[in-house]
Amino acid sequence: MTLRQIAQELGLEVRAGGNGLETEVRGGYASDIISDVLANTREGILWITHLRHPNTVAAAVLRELAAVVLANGREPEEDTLRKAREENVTLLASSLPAYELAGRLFGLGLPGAKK
Amino acid sequence: MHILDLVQNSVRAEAKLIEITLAGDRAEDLLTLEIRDDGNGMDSVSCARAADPFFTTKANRRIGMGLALLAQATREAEGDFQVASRPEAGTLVTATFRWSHPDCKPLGDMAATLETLVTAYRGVDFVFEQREGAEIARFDTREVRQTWST
Repeated sequence: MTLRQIAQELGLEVRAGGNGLETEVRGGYASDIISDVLANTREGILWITHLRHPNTVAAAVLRELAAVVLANGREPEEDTLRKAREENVTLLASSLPAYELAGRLFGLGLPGAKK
Repeated sequence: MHILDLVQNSVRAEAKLIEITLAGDRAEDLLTLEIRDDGNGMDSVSCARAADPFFTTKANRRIGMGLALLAQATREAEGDFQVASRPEAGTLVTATFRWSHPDCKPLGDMAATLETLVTAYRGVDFVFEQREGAEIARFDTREVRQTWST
């Protein structure tokens, strides 16, 4: 499933890196702890978080994540947006709470990030 | 975790003395962490970018998250983060947190952290001071070493 399909299905809004929407998503992970994300994600994973800080972009670059999704109506900080554009990281936003986002993604057939 | 990360920075900057101060002020609802070293400090350009996760001094890497994560932790707890440094004069990192903030990170086991530091970096001296109100606890490896040698 591509990011574009997922974004359409769940009504996710693109905040940065719109040209990465054809990326194939391999799985999902939800966490608000950067070290945990670095330890448990890998290329092609979609990451659900509440973190608005630029460190999310750094983690996404390090692990080559498919996208970062900010849950529950949270908006990225300005620095985060700028970094995401510079680094070509796809940043999406949703008004859905993290629990619901993860549940619906799982329902679409997107598995959790396997170790 | 942050303290270990930051001390590693100091050691890489060839610090010989690293002072860690942790001060809690209930009345002001403020927790302050200071880490001061006498290593090779940074120029103003590096200093301004120190908390940028896309800045690192390591030649083979592009991303460095040590200070960036501490800066994030202070923001999550309505605190503040500052780095003051000059080449040859060492570096002072100050992180403040609103103590009662629900997202203020737990300190972890400070005694274990200190033990790790003191045993890992034998060529470096450490001063650790913890203050809360009138209570001061202080530990200075230079004093300990002196006692051993006499």
